[in-house]
Amino acid sequence: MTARRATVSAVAAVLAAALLVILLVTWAASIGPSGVLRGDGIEANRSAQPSASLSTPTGTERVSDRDRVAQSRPDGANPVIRTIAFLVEIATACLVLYLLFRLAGWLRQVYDARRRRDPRAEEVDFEVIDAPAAVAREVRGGADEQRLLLQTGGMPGDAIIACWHRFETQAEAAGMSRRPAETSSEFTLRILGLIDADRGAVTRLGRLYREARFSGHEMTEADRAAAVEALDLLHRGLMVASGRGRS
Amino acid sequence: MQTSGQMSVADASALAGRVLDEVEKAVIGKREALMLVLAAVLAKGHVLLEDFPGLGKTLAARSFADALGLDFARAQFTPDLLPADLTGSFLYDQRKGEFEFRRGPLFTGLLLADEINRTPPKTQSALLEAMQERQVTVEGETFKLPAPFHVLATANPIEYEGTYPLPEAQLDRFLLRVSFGYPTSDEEYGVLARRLARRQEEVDLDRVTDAEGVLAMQAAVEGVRVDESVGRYCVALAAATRPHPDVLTGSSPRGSLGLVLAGRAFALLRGRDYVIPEDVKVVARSVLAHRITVKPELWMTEASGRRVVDAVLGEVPTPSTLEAPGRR
Repeated sequence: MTARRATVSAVAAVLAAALLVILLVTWAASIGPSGVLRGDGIEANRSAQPSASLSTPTGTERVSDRDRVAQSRPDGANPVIRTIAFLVEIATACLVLYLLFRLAGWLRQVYDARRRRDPRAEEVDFEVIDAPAAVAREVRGGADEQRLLLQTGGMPGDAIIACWHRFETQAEAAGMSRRPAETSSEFTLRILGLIDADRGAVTRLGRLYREARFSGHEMTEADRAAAVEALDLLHRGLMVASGRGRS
Repeated sequence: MQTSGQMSVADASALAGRVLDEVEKAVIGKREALMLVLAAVLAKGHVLLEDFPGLGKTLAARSFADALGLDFARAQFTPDLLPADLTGSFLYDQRKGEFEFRRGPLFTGLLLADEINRTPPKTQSALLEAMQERQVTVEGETFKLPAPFHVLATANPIEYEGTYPLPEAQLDRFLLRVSFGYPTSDEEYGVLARRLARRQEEVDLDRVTDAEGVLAMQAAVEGVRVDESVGRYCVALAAATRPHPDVLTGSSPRGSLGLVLAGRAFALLRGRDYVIPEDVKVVARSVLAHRITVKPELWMTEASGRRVVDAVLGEVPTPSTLEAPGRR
C-alpha cells in the first residue's frame, strides 16, 4: 500500500468512526437515559406505564418509584428530559452538518489544488499544424524590412533590439503569440527552432540582443555589423530551405 | 593556482569554470547542481543540500573546499551537540593562569554541517546566527569568523524520526536549497569506472584557487549588472508566491534579494557581466522553494514549495522585449 493510499484509508476510517459515534449519540438521545441504561426498549417502558400507576392504589413508595421511571421516559412523561434530548438532537444535527460542510470545503480545496496541477485541465495552447510554414513565410517576407531596420534603426543597441522584436511580430502575424511567462529569447528561439533556422546565426543574434537589452553596454557599429551578418545568414538559410521545398 | 585582488568577470568566470571541472572529477554528472552550489558561494551565501543518503552531498562539500582552497571543517550534528561545540569555548590554561579561547569548527572557510536537522534548535540557532552575522559571541566576547565563511548544510528528506526540522525563519537564511538527485545509469557507471581506475577510495583534487581568489571572484560578482526590469521580475516572482492558493506563507523579501544575488553569480558562471531573465528562472526553484510554507490541509496532495515556484514561473510576466521608453 502506498503512503498516499494509506493516508486516504486513515482519513476514511476516522470519518467512518466519527459518523458511527454521532449515530450512536443520536440514537441514545432519542430513546432517553433509562432506555440506554436498562435496555428495556421504548415499547417495554410504554406497556409498563399504565399498570404501574393503576395497580398500586395504597403503596405510595412503590408508586413514587415507578413515577420516577415514568418521568425519565422520553415519551412525554418528563418534559425536562424530553427538552434536553431534543436539544441534544439539534446539536448533533448541527455538528453533522458543520462537519459535512468542512469536509466538502476541504474536498473542494484538494480538488482545486489537483486541478491546478493537472496539465490536462490547463488551457491548451494549440499550435496550428502549418504554423512553422506560416512563420517561415512571414520571416522570409519581412526579411528586407527587418534588415533595413537593423541597419538604419538608430543606435546599434536599439536597432538590434528592434530587429529581434521583429521576429516576435512576424510570429504573431503567423498566429503564434508569446506567452506572458515566456522570455523573449525563449519565444524567439522556439519559433526559429520550429522553422529550422541556422542555429549559429540565431545564437549570435540572440546573444547580441540580450547584451543590448540587459547589459547596459554601449553597443558598437561592429556589433551591428555582426548582427547584420547573422541575420543575413539566417535569412539565406530560410530562402534555401524554401527553394528546396518548392523543388 | 590563481589568486588576484582585482579580477574581471571574464577571469572570474574562467576560474569558476576550472573549479567546477575539478569538482566534477569527484562528483560526476551533476554540473548544474554544482553550478548552483558554486553560485551560492560566489554570492556569499550558504547552501542547504537536501537529498537522500549516498548521493554525494558530503563529497561535493569536501571537493569544493579542496578546489577552492578553503579550510574545511565538518561538524556532525547529533542530538547532544551543544552550541559551544560549534563556536568554541574558554578553557583555563594552568601554566598561564588565564582563560584562553579555543576555537570551534565554525572558524573555518567551508563548514559542512552534516545532518543539520538532527540537532536541537538551540544548537541550530547558534549556527544560523553565525551564518547571518559572520561572528560569534562567547562569554560576552565577540569573535569575527574568517572570510570567506560558507556553510554547506545537509539534511535528509526522509527519516524524520528524532529530528528537529528547521523552522521557516531559519530556512530563510540559506540562499539556496539544492538537491543532486539520483544519477542516470551512465553517470552511475562513471562513478564505478573512475573508482576502479584510480585504485583508491580518496579522490585527489587539485587546488584551483585559494581564499583570496574566492574573495576576488565574489568581488567580481558585485560588478554584475542587474537591469531594473530583471530586478522587478525577481520582486514579482517572490510576491506571486504570497497569494498563491496553496500557500500559507509565501517568500519574504529575502527571497527576491536571493534571486538577484544568485542570478548575478549564475550569470558570472555563464561568462556574462549582466543578468538575463533566464538566469533568474534557473535559480528560482532553489532560491524560493524552501521559503514557502504550503497550507497544512493540503498534506494529502502533492502541493509543495517547488510546485508553487513552478506555477509562479509559468504565470509571472517576464521583462518586455523592448526596453521601457526613455531608459537608455
